[in-house]
Amino acid sequence: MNCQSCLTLLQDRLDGLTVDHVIEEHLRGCPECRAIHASATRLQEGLRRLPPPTPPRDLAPAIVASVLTDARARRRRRFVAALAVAAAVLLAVGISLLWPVTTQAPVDPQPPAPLAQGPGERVPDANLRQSVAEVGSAVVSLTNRTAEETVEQARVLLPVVTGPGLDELLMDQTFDAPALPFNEAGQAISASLEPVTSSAVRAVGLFLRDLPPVEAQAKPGL
Amino acid sequence: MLADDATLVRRCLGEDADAVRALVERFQGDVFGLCVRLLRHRQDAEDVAQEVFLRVFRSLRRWDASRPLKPWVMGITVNRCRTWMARRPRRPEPVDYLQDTLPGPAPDDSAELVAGIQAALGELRLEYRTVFVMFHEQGLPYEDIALALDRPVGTVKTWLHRARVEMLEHLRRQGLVPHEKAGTEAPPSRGNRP
Repeated sequence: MNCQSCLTLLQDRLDGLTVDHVIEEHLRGCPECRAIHASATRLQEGLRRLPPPTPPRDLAPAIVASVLTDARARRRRRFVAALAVAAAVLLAVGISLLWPVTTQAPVDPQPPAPLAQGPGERVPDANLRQSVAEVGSAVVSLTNRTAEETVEQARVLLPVVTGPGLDELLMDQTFDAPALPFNEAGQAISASLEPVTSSAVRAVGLFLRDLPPVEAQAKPGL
Repeated sequence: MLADDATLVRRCLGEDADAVRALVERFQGDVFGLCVRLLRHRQDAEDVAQEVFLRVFRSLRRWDASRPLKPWVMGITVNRCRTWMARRPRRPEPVDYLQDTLPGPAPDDSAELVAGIQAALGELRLEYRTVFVMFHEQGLPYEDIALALDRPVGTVKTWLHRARVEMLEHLRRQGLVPHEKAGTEAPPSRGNRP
């Protein structure tokens, strides 16, 4: 056995294990380990005689009183917090119930002016649904009129365009003969305007979709 | 033991005053004792002990019933002492050892030895002092100390062994442990010193 092993066993001894018979021979031959062993013995003796700190007599009652007071105060705080949460929830529910009534648009006795009114068109009845439908019809009619005007302008412009063989075509053909290229031009212009009209129709459709559902009515142009 | 702890805790959570008193009386000695050893000031130890129990009862719902109650309480004690020491300004702490009386008739130098041990304890660094007190004065096994301090058992053993070495060295410097007399020296040792 060497000193390191002896010191390890002395630690076990301080842990409460019985090791003296194992290290006895080494201690006989090693004064340093012998001194450490003696010190460990004194330490154990002193620890046995070391009195533990004693709490004052009134410490336990004081602690119990403060613990119970603290528990009561926390219980009260939890109750108040629960009341506050319940009040907040009730307030939120109340606001959500009242909100649709307070924010509904008042019924306007005056009918809204139509966006586009041509000759002979009837003024629509004064309610929101009819107004929206009228808006949709007006957008569609405006778009169609724009397309027709564009086609008319194209018909005026087309005779100015010259090209190889076109003069001969115009000289040799009757009035009806150029209707074919005019029709094709009109169709081309209508096709080019189709994204505009379809976008307008989509926009009106999205607007109508967000409104509360009503009985379906057949509406021309939508 | 665990069942007893669980029953006591359950009653304490129901704010049973008798259960609260029983829990305080069960642990106040160890809690106060550890506070005195760590803080080296009786008045501070009383204040911190009160804080410890307040914290224990506030946290009682978080106690894991599958583990013993005492290491959990002692862990809170160590943490509160650490917090207190970090907050308080450093000042000399002459612990009033007169209040701690020796049990029964003592040999001539026992009082001096006990005083020497208490002084040596005060010289230890906090971790070493904590494990030394919990093992030697409060009788907690390594596993419970490891639980209380949230450290591996190996670390606890290392700290305790180093604490003992420093204690022994301190006692030898004070002349409280026997020295090898001159003329009786043995051949030099072949092993390592601690």
